[in-house]
Amino acid sequence: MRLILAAGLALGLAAYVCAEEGGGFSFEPQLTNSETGGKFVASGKAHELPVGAMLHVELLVRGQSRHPIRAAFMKVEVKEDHSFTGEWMWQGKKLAPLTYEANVSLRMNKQPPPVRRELAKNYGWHGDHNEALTTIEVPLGTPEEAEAFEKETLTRLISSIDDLEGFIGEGVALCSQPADSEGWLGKFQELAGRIRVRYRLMRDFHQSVVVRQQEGLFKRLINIYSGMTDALRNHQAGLPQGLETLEKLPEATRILREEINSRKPIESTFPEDETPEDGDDEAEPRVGEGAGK
Amino acid sequence: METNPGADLPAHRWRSEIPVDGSSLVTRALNPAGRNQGIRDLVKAVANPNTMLSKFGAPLAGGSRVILPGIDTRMPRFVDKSDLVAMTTEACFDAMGFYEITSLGLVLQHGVENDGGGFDTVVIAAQTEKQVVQVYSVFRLTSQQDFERHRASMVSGNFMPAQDLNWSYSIKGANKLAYGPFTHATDPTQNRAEGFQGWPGVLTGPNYSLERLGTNTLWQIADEYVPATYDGHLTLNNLLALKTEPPDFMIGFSRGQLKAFKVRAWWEPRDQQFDGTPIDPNRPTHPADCFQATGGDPQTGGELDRLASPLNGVAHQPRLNGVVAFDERSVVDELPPSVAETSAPRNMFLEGSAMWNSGVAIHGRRVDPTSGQAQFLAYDSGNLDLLSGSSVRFWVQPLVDPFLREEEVLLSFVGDDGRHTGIDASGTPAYTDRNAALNAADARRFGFRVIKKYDPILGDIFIRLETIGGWATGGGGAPDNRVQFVVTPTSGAVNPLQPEWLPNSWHWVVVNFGPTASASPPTRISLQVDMVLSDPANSLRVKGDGALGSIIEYGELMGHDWGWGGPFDRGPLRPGASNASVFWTEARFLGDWFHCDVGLSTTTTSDSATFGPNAVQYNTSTMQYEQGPDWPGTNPFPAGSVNRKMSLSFSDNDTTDSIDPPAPVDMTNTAPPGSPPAWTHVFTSTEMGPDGVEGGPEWGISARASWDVLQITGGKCNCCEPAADGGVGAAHDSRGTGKAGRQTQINPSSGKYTFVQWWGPGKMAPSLAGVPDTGSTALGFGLHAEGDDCHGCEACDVDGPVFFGGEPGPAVFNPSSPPSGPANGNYGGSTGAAAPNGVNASTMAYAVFDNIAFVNDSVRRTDNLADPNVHFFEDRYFETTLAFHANALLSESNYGAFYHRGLLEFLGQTGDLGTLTWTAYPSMENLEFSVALWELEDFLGGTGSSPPLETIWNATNALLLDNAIGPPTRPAGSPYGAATTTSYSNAYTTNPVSGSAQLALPAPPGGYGINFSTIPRYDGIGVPGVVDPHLLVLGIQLEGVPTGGPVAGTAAPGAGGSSVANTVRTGTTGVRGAVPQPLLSTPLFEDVTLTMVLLRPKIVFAEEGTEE
Repeated sequence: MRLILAAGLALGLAAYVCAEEGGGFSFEPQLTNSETGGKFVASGKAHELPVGAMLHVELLVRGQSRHPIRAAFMKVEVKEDHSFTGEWMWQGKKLAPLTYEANVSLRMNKQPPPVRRELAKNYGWHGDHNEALTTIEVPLGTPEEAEAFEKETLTRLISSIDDLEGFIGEGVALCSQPADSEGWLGKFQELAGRIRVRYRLMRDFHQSVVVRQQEGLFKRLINIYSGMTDALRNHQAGLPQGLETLEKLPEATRILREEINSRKPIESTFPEDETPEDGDDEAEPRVGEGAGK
Repeated sequence: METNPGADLPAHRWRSEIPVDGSSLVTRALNPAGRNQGIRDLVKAVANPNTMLSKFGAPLAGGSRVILPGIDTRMPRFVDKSDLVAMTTEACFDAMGFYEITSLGLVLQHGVENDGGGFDTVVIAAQTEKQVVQVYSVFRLTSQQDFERHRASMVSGNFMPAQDLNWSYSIKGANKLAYGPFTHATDPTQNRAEGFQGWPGVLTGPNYSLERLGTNTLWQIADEYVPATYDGHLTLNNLLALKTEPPDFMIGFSRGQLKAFKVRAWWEPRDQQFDGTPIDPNRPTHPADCFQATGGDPQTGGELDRLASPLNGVAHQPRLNGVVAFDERSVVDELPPSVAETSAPRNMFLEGSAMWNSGVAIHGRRVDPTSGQAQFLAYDSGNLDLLSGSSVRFWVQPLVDPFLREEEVLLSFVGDDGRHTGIDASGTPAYTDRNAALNAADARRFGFRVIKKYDPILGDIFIRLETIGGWATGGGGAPDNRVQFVVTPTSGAVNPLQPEWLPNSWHWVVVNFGPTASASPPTRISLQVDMVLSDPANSLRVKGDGALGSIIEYGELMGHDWGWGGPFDRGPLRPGASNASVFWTEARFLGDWFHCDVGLSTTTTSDSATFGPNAVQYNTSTMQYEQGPDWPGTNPFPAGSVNRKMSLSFSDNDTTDSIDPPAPVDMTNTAPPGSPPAWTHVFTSTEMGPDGVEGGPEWGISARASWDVLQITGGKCNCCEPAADGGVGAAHDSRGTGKAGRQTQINPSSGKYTFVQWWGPGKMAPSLAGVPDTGSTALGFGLHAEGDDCHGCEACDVDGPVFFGGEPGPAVFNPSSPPSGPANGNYGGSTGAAAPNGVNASTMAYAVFDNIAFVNDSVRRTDNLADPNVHFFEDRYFETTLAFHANALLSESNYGAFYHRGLLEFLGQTGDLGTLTWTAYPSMENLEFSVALWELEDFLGGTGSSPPLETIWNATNALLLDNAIGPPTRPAGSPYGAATTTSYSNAYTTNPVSGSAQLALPAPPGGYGINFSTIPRYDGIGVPGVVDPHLLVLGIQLEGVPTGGPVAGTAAPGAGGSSVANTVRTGTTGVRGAVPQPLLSTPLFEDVTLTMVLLRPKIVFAEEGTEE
C-alpha cells in the first residue's frame, strides 16, 4: 500500500490512493473556482466494490461548531471500469479559501439489492451499515489568501456587530415612544431603511461564498438582527414585548462580540480537539475500515 | 372571526405585495421593465396546446425558465391556461398529416404571334384539381387519461404491490387499510373484490392517481378518482421510504387517505422489564386495540384508529376528492348531473380535491363549504414520544411567493398537561386513559411551532422554529426562543444544502426535540431544513434540564414511600414512616408527563405542641441540661408529618429582676440517618438563666414541637385509579404481576425494604442511590407533590394536536359557535375534534404537505451525529429502485421510474411508422425522461393459433416485452433508455422497434425524437389464423442516472414469492455518474406523439377547379 497526498494552491486538489497491484481504492477530489462559480469534482477508483455500487461523496467544512457544514452531498456510481466520478457546481458562489474535507462513504441501505447482497456476502455488512471509505482534506487557496479571508470575515463580523448595537440603541430610543405618537412612523421607516442596507451588506458577503468561516457566528448575528426587527415591528403593532426584547438584545450582542474577539488571532478551521483522531498526522487522510481492501 | 389577510386574494396569486422589495424573485420576474414573465407566460398559455396548470403544485421542471442577472432558474408559470378569459387557436407547427395538394393542368400553345410581331406561348385551357389528403396519422398522448388508458402496468418494474395485501406487517401499530371491496352505487358489474393494491412507478397527473386497483383491472386508478382529460403529465414517484419501527407514526398521503398507516406503539412501564424492554413485544399497551393484541380489525372506534385519524372533524379536513357526482372524483369539483353549472359555480382549484399525488394542499381559502371554516390537518400528540425524544419530519411545497405573506405556520404543537386539555365536550375522554378536564382558556401553554417568516425590514425569508411557553432557552444569546435559517430565494437553485423557498419547490423540515439520550438531560431542540441542520450550540434547550446549572424549574421531588401501609400508598415522603424511602429529582422534559397528580392538590397544614414549662432542666448531678418532667414522653410528631422541628422557649421564673429571657432557639437533630432522633442544643450563657451560668437561677424552659402535614386530595388518572376489582389500581396490578415495579420485600436480616429505584416510565434501575433513612430526621423534604406509580399512560403529559399548515386560534376563537363551552382551545369539538372552531386562518400556510413522520427515540434524531447510520436526509423523489426502501420481501423486484403503455389504438392499422416526438422538461438537477418503443409480435399469444390463445396483453404477463422484435443490440447514440449493448435477462433485453437501423435525431434544435425510416412496416392487422397482429408498446423511463444495476445476467428470480420479474435497473447506465442527494425535484413528461405514414394517402377532400 502506498499513500499519496498532494495539495494544490491555485486549485484544491488532494488524492488518496490505497492500492495493491491493480486494485484498491483511490479518491481525488478537486475544487476550483471560475467566473461562474465554484466547482467540486470527485473522482476515483473502487476496484474492490461491485459495479453499480453507490458511493456518497460529501464535501464539508469543519469549523467551531459541532456539526460540520456540508457544501456538497451526492451519490455516485461505480462504473464497469470501477471508476466513479461526480461533480457539483455552485452557480454564482465561489469557494472560499478554506480547508475542506471530502469524504466517501458507502451506505448499505442506499445500495441496489444485488449490490447490497454482494457487499453483505463479501464484507459481512448489515443492511444499515455505513462504511467510511476515506476522508481527505482539500485545502483551497494560498495561506495568504486564507489568512486574508479570515481577517476579512472577522472584520466584517465586528463591523456588523457595531452596526447592530447602534441600531439596537436607536431602536430602544424609538420604542420608548408609543408607536402612534407623532412622527414615530417616519422615524421607524428611516431606521428600517438603514438597517436593511447594512444588513444586506453583511448578508451578501455571507452568501457570496459557498461556505465561509465563522458560519455559526454569522447565523447568530442574523438571528439577532431578526430579533431586533421583530421587536421593532412588535412595538409598531402596539405589543409590549417589543421594547422588552430590544432591551435584552445588547446582552446577546455582547456575548457574540466576545466570541468574535476570542477568535482573534487566526483560528484553525480544523482545530486539534475536533480532528477525528487526535494525534494523527493531519496531512494523512483517514481511512475507514475496509477501505482499499 | 379573524380574517385571513390573504383570504381575499385569489389562490396561487403570483404577486408580491411588497412593491419596494426587490428580494422576491417573483417580483423581479414579473417586473414589466425587466423580465415581464407574466406576459411571457400569458403568451405561452395561449399558444401552448398543453394545458400545464401550475396551480396543483406542478413540478418546477414544468415551469418557465426565468433568467435574471446571475440567476437561471425555473418558476411556476404565473399564467396558465385556466387563467385565460378569451381563448384563441393554439399554435401548432406541424401539419398533423394533412396536406392540401393543388394540381394545375394547362394546355399550352406555342407560336402564337403577338402584337409585337413575336411569338408567345399561351394557355388555351386550364383546370385545377385540389385535394386535401391525410398522408400520415398522428397519435398523441397528452392528457392524464391518455397516459392512464392501456397502461402496461404488468411490465416488470411498473407497479409495486402493496404489502398490505398480504397483511404480514410485524410492525406494531400498523393500521390495516380499509380498502375494498368496492360496491358501485348503481352498476353491479363494476363491483370489485380487491381494494388497494399498490403503487405505480411513475405517476400521472394532475389528479390523484396513486391508489390502484387489482390485477383484473390492470391496476387502473381506483374508481374514486378520475384521470384528468384537460391536462396530463408524468413525474417520478414520491412515496415515503423510511424504515419504520414500533414507536413511529407515519402518514403517506399516497395511500389516498388522511389517516396514518402507522401509529406509535408504546409500552407502559408496567408492561416492561426493568430495562425498558417490553415483556410482550407483540402486545403494546398502546394502542390498546392494536391488531397484534386483539387479532381483530381495529379499523374503527379503537385507540389505534383514533391515534391514526385526523383530530379535526371531517368537515374541517382537507377533501380527498372533489366528489359530488358519485363516480367522478377528481381535482375538479364535479357537479351532480342535476345541478346546472351556472347555478352552483365551483372554484376548480379551491373546492375540488385537496389531495394530489404530491400530498395534501392547505390553503386559507380551502374551506368547508357548509361552515366556511378552513380545512387543515391535525394529529394526536400521543404519537410523540416526548420523554425519549422524537423528530417530526414532513415535506412541504410552498405554492406562492414566500414574500406574499409575512407568516405561514407549517407545524404547530402547543399543548398542556391534563389539567387543561380534554377531548370530548360531553366530558367523556376520548381515550380511556385520559381523564383530563375539558378545554380551558389556557390549554395552549407549551410546545413549539415552525413557521415561514418574511421579515419586511431585512427582506429575508426565514424558516423558524419557535418554542412556546417559556420552555426553552437559547444556547448563546437572545432571542432565546428560536432557531432559524435564511431561505430567501436568491439563486433559484434547488440545492438541499442551501435551501431556497421557491414556489413549488419541495423541502424537508425536521424538528428534533427531547433529550439527546433517552430520558436524560440535557434536552435539545434543533431544526433541519432539507440537509441543513441547526447547530446544537445554538439549539434550544429546555429550561431546567440541568445542563445549564439552572434550577430544575419543572423538576420535582418524587418519592415512593414503600412499605408504609402498602407499597403504593399515597402518603407523602416523610420521616418516621418507614425505615427507608426513595427519592430523586427529575427534570421535566418538554412533554414529559406531569406528575401523576392530575386531579390532586397538596394542602399544607402547620401545627405545633408545647410542653413546659419544665421540658428541660439543669441536672446538678450530671451538670447537664436534660429532659425535664414536661419533655414529651412519646413521639410528639404525628405520623406523616414533615418539616419537623423542636425548639426551646425560655420564661422568667423570677419576676423581680429586670432581665428578660432570651428568644426561642431551635434544637438540632444530631442523630445519624436511620437512628432515632436526638434533639440537642448547646446552651449559651444567656440561656443559662439570668445569672448567665449553669446551676444558678434558671429560666423555665419549654419544648415546642412543630410540623407540617401535607394532605393530598383529589384523584389520579385512570391509570392509577382503583381498579374494578377493588385493588389499588393499575399500580397494584403491576406490582402484583411483577412487571415493572417489583414487590418490595423486607430483608429479614436488615429489617429494611429492598427498593427499586424507578426513573420514570420505562426506566427502572435496579439499584438504589442516595436514600437517607428519614425515620430520624426532622427536616423532611420540600415536597409539592407526592410520589406515585406513574405508568406512563400519558394521560397527563403535554397533549395538544399537532397541526400542519396552521395553528388553532386563540382560546376564545370564534365564540359564536362554541361546541364545548365558553373557551375553546385545542380540543372540545362535539365530535372530539381538535380546535373545534377550526384553524386560525390568518396563520395558514399556502402549501402542500406530504409524508409526515414522527420518528421517535432520541438515537434516531437527524442531529444524532453519534450514529453514522442516522437518517439525516430523505429523498423526495426516487431515481433508482424503490422496492428495497419500501418492501423487504420484494427487494429483488425493480420498481421505479418506469412507465409502459400499450398502443392498442394501432391494432387494426397497418402503416410505416414515421416519427416519435415528445415534450419533456428536465428536473432542476437535469434528470431527464427517455422514450422507447417496442413492437411485439404474437399479440394473440401464438402465431397461427386457432382459436387464438390468451392475448399477451394480460395482467400477469410481466415478460410482455420479451416478445419484442429486433436484434438485442442498442443503437449507438440513441436517446432510448432501454438496454445496454450487452444484454441482460430482464424485460429490457429486447430492443426498441427500430433496432440497429433506428436513427436518432440530433439534439435540439433538431428536437429529440426518433424516426423509423428504415423500419419494416408495422402490421397491426395480421392474417387471421396465420399471422397475429403486432402490438406497439411505449416505454418511458428516467434517463442517464446512476442505476446501480448488476452485471449482466446475474439477477435471480424475485424473492418473497413475488411474481415480478427480477429487473434491477431503473435507468440506463448513468451518463452523469452522480446525482445530488436528496433528490428534490422531478423531471416532467408532458406529451408524446407517434406518426404513422398511411399505405396510401387518404383523400378527405377533393375539389375540381376552374375550367377555362
